[in-house]
Amino acid sequence: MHGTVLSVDRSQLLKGLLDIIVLRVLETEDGYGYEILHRLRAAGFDELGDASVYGTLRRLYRAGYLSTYVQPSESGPHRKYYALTEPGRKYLRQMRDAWEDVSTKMQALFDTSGTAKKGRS
Amino acid sequence: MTDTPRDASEIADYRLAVERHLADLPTPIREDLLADLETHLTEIAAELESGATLADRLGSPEDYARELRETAGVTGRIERPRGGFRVLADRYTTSAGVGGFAEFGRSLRPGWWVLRGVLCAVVVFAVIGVAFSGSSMPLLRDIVQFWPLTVIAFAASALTFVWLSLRLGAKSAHQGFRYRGIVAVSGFALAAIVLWGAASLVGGYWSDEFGNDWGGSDPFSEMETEGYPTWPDGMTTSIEQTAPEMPDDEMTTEAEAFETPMPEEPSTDEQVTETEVFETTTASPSADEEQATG
Repeated sequence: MHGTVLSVDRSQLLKGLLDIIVLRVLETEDGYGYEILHRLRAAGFDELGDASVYGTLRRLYRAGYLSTYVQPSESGPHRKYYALTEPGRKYLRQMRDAWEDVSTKMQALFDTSGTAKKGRS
Repeated sequence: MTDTPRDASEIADYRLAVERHLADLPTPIREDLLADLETHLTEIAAELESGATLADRLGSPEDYARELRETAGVTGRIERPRGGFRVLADRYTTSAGVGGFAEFGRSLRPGWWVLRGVLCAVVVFAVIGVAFSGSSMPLLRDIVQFWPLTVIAFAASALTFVWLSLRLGAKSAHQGFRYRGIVAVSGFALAAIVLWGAASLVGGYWSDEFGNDWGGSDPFSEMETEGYPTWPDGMTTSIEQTAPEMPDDEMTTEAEAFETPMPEEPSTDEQVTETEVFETTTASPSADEEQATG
């Protein structure tokens, strides 16, 4: 997370998407903190710091989008699992719609400026 | 491997350092943020390669704490619980279309500064007027009662006081809590004096007109008892009986705060007690007062 300028910029960009990312990886299966981090790494979000993910989990929990339950593990301490609540699912749907809208518009924006650039040079 | 002494002390140290950097947060929020940390650190430590530290993997405890509070939405130094009053006040002003309550209050400030200057001029003129209309020197009395001069003088002094008041307002934004508190309390006292003077005038008019004896108190009663020519004798006595002692204190407080001229120098004895009164009223200005004017 403390890498090049490029990766710092990416992590700033991702901060706005933390909610949707974290909710999405919990949508199909509940998970505990460390496991959620692994899912994010596997999905390619290496820039997301551990603290960012834990902070987001606590905020989403306070907002009522996540619930928690504790489960003992075979090796080591009890684990706090996070699960999506009904408001959480609704919030994720809305965020997803918003993201798809922004994403489409961004794509269109890049396509047009790409043409303009080509025309000028 | 996770329960070797080296790992345990490193985890405890890291956790403690993070906790230190969250020390300003209210205890329940801090504990909530730290709740999962130890478990997480243990899991991280378990997969660390030998020689690597927790800080290599997670960054400094300071960065960790900052990121945690940023993403958890507790960036503020202290998260103030919003009481029912503030919520209601916000709803009230927002529904009228003037923004939140605090924002609305800030937008009122310059207007209040202008009003404060005008009120200062009113008080000064009332004092001068009362002091000199009853003057035994005919020339002085004539000057005071020559109205065009009075209008010009009032306009000039109002402009001066408004300028001073605006300057005070602009300056006090950069001043400390105590300074702003004194300014706020002085401002309220000024407004109270003018309101009370106006109420007395209305009350005096009423008792004059209808023969009622209630509400005949006047801020300048002491000077009037020396012989204000147009007021009937019975009126003056009723003033003396009903006039409370408070006004004298307040007027001197005001005069000291704004450096307005006093018609009469108070004796040294009085001055001491008045300063004490002033000290006690401004020793602990409430946050509301500070917000309203400063």
